Amino acid sequence: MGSTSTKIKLRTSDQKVFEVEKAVAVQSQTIKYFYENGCPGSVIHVHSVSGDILSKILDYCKKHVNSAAGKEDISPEELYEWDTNFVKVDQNTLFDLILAANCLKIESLLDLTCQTVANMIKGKRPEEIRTTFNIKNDYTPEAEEAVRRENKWAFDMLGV
Amino acid sequence: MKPKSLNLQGRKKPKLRMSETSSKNLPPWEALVMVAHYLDPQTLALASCVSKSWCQAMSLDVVWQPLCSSSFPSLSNLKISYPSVPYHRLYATGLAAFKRRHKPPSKPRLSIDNIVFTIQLSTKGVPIFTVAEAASKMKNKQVFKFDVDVKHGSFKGIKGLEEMKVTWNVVLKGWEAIFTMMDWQGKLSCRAVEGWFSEELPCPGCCSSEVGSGIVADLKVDMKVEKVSVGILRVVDWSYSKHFSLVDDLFVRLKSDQYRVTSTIFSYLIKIYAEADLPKKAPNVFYKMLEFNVKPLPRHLNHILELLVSHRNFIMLAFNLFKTAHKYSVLPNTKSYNILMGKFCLNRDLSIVYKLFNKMFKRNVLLDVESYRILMQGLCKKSQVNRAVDFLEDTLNKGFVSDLLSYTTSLNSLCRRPNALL
Repeated sequence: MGSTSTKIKLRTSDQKVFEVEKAVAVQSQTIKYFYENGCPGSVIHVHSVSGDILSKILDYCKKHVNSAAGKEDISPEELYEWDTNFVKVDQNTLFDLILAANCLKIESLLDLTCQTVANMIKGKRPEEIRTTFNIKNDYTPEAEEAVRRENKWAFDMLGV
Repeated sequence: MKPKSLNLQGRKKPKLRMSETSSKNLPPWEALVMVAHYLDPQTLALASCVSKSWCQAMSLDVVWQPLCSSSFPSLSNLKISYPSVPYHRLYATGLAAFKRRHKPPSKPRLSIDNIVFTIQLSTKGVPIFTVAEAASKMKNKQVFKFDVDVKHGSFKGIKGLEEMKVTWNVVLKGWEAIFTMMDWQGKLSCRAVEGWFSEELPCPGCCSSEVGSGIVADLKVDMKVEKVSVGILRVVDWSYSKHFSLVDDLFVRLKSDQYRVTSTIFSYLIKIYAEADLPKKAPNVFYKMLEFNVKPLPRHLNHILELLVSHRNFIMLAFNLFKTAHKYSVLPNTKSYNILMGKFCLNRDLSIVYKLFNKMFKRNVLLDVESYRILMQGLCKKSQVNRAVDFLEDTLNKGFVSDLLSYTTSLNSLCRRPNALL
């Protein structure tokens, strides 16, 4: 059927329109569903994703589709390296990617982005996490004392 | 041109909005929940201390349920009956329980060598005596009970005392700390030979139990005041000993009121000691009977002996009682001999068995099949099969119909040692 040549039109929250190869677009389970259940040729709205984020996501999908289809000669290690570089973005973008990957239902991208954030949290004390993500501590001293007491076991595991 | 300008407009607006929300509330809550699924329990617990919204995202049941049911499947079932308990709390509880189970008991922080006992007895504010003694000096038995010698007290006999105050303090050496085991005040029956003072200790602060500590501090004053016993017992054990002391008191009263006591009551007493697993107390019944001029019957003696020999440590006590019984002209019967011979056979003390056996002849106590069998078993065990066969012959000559077991016992041994007869 030559499905690779079929194009799907996507419109983002900021009204940008992308024309994407079908094979790339259907990496997203959400788009796949709309494509198969909507009118052929119509534009699919991705309300919750901005153009910048969508273009990044499409880069990711293209890379993975091409390497899987053998269009691009890339080893698993190289692909892994490419992924690692892909998530080397500022935190805002990273969290937007997570939300977008979740909304578009791209399992592997969700794994990649969430794991990246998880690695940033792991092994850190609450104070360090606050610095890393620039979070304001909105606990009252009493409430913080209480929540720390409840989770004392986790602090104990960290060691002194 | 039109779509492009639209794009530009659109690009500006959402970006501004996004950066606004991001700086205020970063990271977005939904993203945090997503990430939470990728975290281990420890990280989740630490991250919930970051801020209120983080705490919400990191404590969700959807995140903790798989963690909880994979680590503590039995606990996660609790959720069925107590749906309000969050899974993250169940996990923490489960972890604590797991650690507790695998933690060896901590070293005792107090050693008996560092403790001094002080005991004070006073009546109407006048101290009768005060003792201070290092705990290590006192005879320490398996039971946590100590006797304090107060013979050197300047008084003799405190009969008829009524208002009494008893204080028992435990002092840590160097006077670093003092703990009051007992502070008892009240009336004491002047009839009692021994004064018992017991107080349940307060429960330790670590558990939220309302039933108390289950441990009793116990103090016993010998009314002749030669010694004071102090001890710490579990409530369960204590109620036993307490009740037995009541039994003793009862006998004292029976005696002083010159009641006639039948021998049946003593049979019951032996039975009770047997049920309470207190063999050591059993010989007292024998002496108590003599005290009440009730002549112990061989049946009583045998009950006591049986109780004593059932405990490895009290065989010699049984043997001594057996010997003294003669002095009080309580004559052991065949069964008494058999009980002792059987036990000593098991312990392979054949010399004593022989002695007993010969005594039976001397004292004209009839031997029965059982006696022969016991002896034969002992001989066979010690590989003295020849003598065993002699005994077997003797049994037959004396007209006992030896039972099948005796034959098998000796035949078995013969077969095992074919040269024994040669």
